[in-house]
Amino acid sequence: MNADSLLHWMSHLGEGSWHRFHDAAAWLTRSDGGHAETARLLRIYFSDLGCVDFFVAESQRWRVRSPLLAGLSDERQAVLCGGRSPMLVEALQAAAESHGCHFEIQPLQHLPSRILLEGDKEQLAAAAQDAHLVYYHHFAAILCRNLTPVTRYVADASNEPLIGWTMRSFDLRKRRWVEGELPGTAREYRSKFGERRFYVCGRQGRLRAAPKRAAIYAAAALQNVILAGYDIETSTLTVAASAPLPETYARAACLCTGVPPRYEDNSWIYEDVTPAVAAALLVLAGQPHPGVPIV
Amino acid sequence: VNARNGRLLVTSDNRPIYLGTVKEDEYGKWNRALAAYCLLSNEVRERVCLAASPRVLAAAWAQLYRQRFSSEDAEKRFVAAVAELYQHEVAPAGLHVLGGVDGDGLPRCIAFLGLSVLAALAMSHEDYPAHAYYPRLSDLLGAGRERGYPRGFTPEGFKQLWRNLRRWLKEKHRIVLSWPQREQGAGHIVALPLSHAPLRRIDLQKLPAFFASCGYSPSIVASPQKLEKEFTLWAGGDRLTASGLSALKDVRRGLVLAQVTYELEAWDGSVAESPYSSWAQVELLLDLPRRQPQLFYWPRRPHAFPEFFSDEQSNHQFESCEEGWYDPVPIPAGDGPLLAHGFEWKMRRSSRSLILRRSETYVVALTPSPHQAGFASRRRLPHNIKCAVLCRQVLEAEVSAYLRNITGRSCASVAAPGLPSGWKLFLDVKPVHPITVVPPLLEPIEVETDVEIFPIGGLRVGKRQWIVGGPPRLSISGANTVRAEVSLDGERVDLDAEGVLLDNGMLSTPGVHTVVCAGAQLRIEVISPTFTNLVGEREEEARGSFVALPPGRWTVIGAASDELLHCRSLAPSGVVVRTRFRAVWAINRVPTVAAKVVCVATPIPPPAFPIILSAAQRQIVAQWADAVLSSQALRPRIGCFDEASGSHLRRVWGAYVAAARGLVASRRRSTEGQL
Repeated sequence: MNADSLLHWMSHLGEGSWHRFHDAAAWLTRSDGGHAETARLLRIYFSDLGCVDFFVAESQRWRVRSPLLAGLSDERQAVLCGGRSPMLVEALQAAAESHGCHFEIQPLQHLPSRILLEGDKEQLAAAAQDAHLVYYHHFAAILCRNLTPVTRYVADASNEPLIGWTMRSFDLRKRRWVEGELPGTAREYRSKFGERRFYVCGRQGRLRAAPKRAAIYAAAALQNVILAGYDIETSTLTVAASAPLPETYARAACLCTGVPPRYEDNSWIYEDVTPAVAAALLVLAGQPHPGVPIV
Repeated sequence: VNARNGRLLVTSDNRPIYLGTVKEDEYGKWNRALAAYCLLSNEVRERVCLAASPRVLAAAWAQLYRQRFSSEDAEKRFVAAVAELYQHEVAPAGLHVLGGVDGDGLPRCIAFLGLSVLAALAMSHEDYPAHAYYPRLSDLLGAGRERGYPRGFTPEGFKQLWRNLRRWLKEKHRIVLSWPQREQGAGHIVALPLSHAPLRRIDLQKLPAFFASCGYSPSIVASPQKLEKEFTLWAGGDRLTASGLSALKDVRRGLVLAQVTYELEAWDGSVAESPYSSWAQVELLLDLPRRQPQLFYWPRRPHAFPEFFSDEQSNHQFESCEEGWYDPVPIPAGDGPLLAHGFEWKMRRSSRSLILRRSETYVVALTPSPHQAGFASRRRLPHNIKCAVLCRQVLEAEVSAYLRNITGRSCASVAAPGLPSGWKLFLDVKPVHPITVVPPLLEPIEVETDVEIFPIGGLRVGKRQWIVGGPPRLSISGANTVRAEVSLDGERVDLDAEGVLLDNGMLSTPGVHTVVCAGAQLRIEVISPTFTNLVGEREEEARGSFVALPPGRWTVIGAASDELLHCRSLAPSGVVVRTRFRAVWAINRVPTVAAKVVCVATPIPPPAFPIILSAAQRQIVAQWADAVLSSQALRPRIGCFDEASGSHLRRVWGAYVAAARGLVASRRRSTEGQL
């Protein structure tokens, strides 16, 4: 499976439908079954790595993000982020070498290659400029500044329950979706045509529309349930796999290193996340602040 | 001599003519679009036509510029562009000004000759007498008439332009241009454009009904033999006009079929029932994740149909994220009767009625789809290709027996919970023994014996374009494929047991690849990917600071003594602070066991004092100093997000404390001085 080809294809098209992405992923994996799971994982990775936005404006559409050079938490490092083509990678390599940056293409299994540059801030900026890219120093911190608190995703107006739609609720204790109606949590309504809508069910039983992941975190904040945490000693951010961070949050966590999270014990583990970024993500997601390291 | 850039044109008799302003490049754009679509495309054609019908014009523009107009709009824009150039350049000087090549190396006359074909399409139609070609051409060009011709037009010059184009195609591209049988005699000049338009506009308008009735799909290559057979059968009644029918029966038959092929390639899937109503087919799609069948409605989306289609009566909604199609929507189990009896979903748009339709169905052939993973509904089962069949439950036994005959093995329906009620599904149907006599109800699953080459899967980026790293699989169906030779780019290649071409990596290289098998040909292009339509979003690099703090009451200060902000967290999780100034310290006003002073800046700037302060600023300075000193009095624990700053944190904090003390002292001296 060549995820580079998949990203090149998406970059060439610019945007497309979820179904088409799903099919392309299935084609590349040559899987007879289980390609839904492959497509889902690729979607998570492509989104987390800042390459593609999925379900743009709550549609079934994906859109490739503009390429840029994202500075990592290690100030001497940056990765190519967003759409890409073989020509762009070649141009970036030439620019990096002409400005004395170390350039490396790191193949990752089932993922687009990690295009890494190492050098001073000025060298990285100059290389980016030569390749017609924008360079952002410590990109994750910039992403954090522009995040919206999960509670603001929740619509102001309440909605009536949808009649004739099947329903699931997110069990905050068991950390999984269960059939039926639970109070004070996120709910998924599914029409007979497969359309899905998500709501947060407040304490009064009122439904307010919200994106899926934000709905779970908004409900968890209401109920003081912990779904994510940060270990200051190891700089790891751990998130329940069944309740991944909202897409833009996950992207900020991922782009501290430019490496996608690893899956372990039903959790997504983001490594080398800086304390400042982790604190911002958790507080904005309504989760407890991880604390500040004492000097 | 064309001196367009200087707006000066010199005629053949050295007469200088100063030209008016022409909207530069609109003509050139159409010239390129028509050349790319009609003359130089990758399609396999014996001879090319300049088949500039409204539908072809829209498709040509969309292919090159990725902007889709309706046929009517495309025609209007094309005519306006050609007419403008003609009025300003050709009418004053003569047709010879179109004789050269443009900046792209293309003959400049292509768009003009295209318009001459468009004029030919309208003969026997509208307000013109049957053979009034030149009045129609004059009206389109809008340059007036002289001696019965458009101003600036001469029959000899017109013929010369056609000859130039024919020679250029032959010499540069080894392509044969359609040419009339007769080159002399009365009417032979008009025969030049007419040889590209043997079917007139009124006949072309009926073609979508033919395409839909025969189950053709937009953007699918039809085999010439199959198209000829089915079109002849369809046109055999009184569907074509007398002139169309006679063209089909005489020596122009090949030209008619070429024109139909162009129209099929440019067709967007809609069928107009009237000027106020058009419809498109709802296909079915079968996906098999983990061998669990899932059926979907998969409507076509012609250009005139909206991105969101909503039928309010039946509550069916479709969204389109890809040109030509709406996204598949699962078929609920309860929709079995709907599927059997057929349906129409309607919506109104700009006083037009748009309909998605599927007619009464007994049995459906589901074949590998070139657009989606899985199997899509199609007319007839391709020979020697693994397919699926969906049928009404009442026909299960009959279909099973038929499938046993054509596959040579027993076929049983599969039990699947996701299927619509009252329907049965047969998987792994590979027809190898076509039957000549098929019961009428089972005609939709008759075996197609003509050789067909169809691409499946891959990373497709255009009509017949794929990117390097994701070429399609090429399947070849048909009764003769077992014995036939298959060649790829002129080299003999083999097929596997499933009828899939073994390309030996040849499709991994960029370029145009041609597959030939038993008279059937297909050209596909493999390209290196580039960027398209990426939205340039810049992340805001906000000024000031952004910091997340634990729960509590905080005072955030900057390096300048007038930079201060009080905040407190309402949520138990903590508080996010955004300041306009660059925050350096966050001081917790309620002592806790956790850090009381948090450094939030890296690197940490030294304290700074504004020289001139307003009264309000002096108050803030007092608060700034108070915040630092009151915290210092409690011997604060100092925290920091950045470990690297930890070693000299206390020393820098000490500098801030000293600065605060200095501020208090200076303030005291100032007060004492006033007293």
